[in-house]
Amino acid sequence: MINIKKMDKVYGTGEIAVNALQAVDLNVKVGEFLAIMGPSGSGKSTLMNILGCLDKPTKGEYYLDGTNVSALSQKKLAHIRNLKIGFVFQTFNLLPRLSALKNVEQPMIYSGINRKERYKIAKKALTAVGLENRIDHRPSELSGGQRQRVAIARALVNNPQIILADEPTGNLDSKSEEDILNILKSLNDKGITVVMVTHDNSVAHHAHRIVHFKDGKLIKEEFPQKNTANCKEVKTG
Amino acid sequence: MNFLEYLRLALTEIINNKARTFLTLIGIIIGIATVILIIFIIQGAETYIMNELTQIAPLDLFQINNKYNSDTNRWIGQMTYKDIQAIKEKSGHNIKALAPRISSSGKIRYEGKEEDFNMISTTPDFQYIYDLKLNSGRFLSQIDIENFNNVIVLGNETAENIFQNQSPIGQKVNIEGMTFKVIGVLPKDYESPLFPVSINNNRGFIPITVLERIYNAKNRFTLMVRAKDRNHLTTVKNDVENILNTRHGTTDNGQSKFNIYEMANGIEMVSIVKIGLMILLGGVASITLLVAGIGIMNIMLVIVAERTREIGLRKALGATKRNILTQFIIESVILCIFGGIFGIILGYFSSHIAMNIAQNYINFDLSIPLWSIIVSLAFTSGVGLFFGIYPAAKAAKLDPIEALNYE
Repeated sequence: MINIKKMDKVYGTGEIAVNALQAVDLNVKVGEFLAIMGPSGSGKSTLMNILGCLDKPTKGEYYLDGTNVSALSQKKLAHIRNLKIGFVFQTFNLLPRLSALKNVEQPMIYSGINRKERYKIAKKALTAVGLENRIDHRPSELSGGQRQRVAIARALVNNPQIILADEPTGNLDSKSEEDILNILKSLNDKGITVVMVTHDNSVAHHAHRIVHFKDGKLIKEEFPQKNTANCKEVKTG
Repeated sequence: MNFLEYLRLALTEIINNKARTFLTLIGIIIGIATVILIIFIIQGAETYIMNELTQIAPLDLFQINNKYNSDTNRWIGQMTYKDIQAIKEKSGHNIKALAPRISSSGKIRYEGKEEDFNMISTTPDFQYIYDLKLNSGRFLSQIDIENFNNVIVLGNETAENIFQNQSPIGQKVNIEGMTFKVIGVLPKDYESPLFPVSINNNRGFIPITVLERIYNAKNRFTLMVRAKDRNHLTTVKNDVENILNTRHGTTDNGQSKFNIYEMANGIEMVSIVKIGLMILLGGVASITLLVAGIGIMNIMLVIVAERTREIGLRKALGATKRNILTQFIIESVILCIFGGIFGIILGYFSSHIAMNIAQNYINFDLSIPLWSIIVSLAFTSGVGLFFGIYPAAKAAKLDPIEALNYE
């Protein structure tokens, strides 16, 4: 699904240049649930931005579903974001003046789905996350957990192959956290690849695999569900 | 993504921010209202002046006189019936009516009563020059002309004064020793405002051939020409002048032997004044709308800054640069069209007030032309488009990551 080879990301130039990512190699298989961990400034957000085609690597290649996306135009990247990737953010990023339903409809506006169809799909997606009674509520009228569920519904409407969740439970209480993780897991069970950034070890342990970042380098990989002994050091360039 | 989607997005935003929308639009509203009001005043003034002018003479009428040298007591040029024929042949298609006329004054007698009256000797076409309608009887006919019939059509006042309650039709009257049969009477208070002579009712019409035979006065007539409409007037005038100059030559110093008078010379002046006012209006409107447009640009920049996160999110959800650009341009255009609509409404009401005030003094009709509404809307859309491009381009250029993390 995801193939990253010797990827560098440098911000700025000359003396103020920051190496956000250094020689990162990462492969994510179709249907995998991957957690990315690391302290702030470790490069995990940068990696997520590149994975989400919001940013381009300075060096190295990124293959998404067989396509070398580092070579694509802005317009093509927008289409990939629209159709292949679903984003879930820590701060939900819902549009405050729109109802839950309208929020969920937004990605479909850009994929050219007509109004009636949009309504149907959005309603179905909200039902799937248990919010069929909240479709006309604005984000301010919803709890944090409900907002994140709206955001997940929004991420799903264009049937993406991959969900990128950046600290999806970072702003939630433990009950909502569990709900959200269960939803992500059930989506993963249906075959959607999930990549999740978190700094919470217990959250990360819901994943098939955890990769640890530090100072822009991938330093450790572990497989929590099989055996913690599987944990191995990864050599970095 | 089609236009309707953008329209919906724009309307949602505009309706969600009613107060700000309204405040933003005040500039546009006042600008457009001013434009509508001024257009209305110019139109109203033009209509009023044109009406006053048409009271004096038809706009599409002119007449040709023979030039006369008063020192030598000789005619410099004299039109003939052959000239009329030539004019009819060459520019008949642009001419509504064409009639020779000789005016004279005389006394009309009937059973011992005597009245001064103004006698117009002419042909049947005269009726069409002035759109004359008859109260009773008929106007002069071609047969009257050809047979030198002693017949007369009377103005209402003259007919009433000499016949009182009798029916004038068929009566015999005496004019300068000759007997004429009354064949028709013009309506009472005949207000053809179009008469070149002031007395409307105190007149009579006889066949021109009869007068020419009595006085042996050939080729003394004034020729009246009415074009099909005002747009043809200049063409017809030039044609007639050329025909006459060709047929009669010019004087030794190259001047025409005939004088051509347009009956409504003031019209050109009105057009010039109107164009001047329109340019003035255009200037005022442009400045107002420029200022308003800068206001729109300012508020669009505020809106873009305010919605930076939204823009970042939309980009993450798959919006292209073009999607964002179009969204904000359309929002700006729709915003301005709202301003245009309110401006038109305000302009309409202020025009009504202006009309009510004006009507105390003159007869002033309200007419807001449709084109002014269309032009206003087109203009405001243009303002929205022009001043929306920069903020929209700024929005489209935003980096999605920075935009998403914008606080």
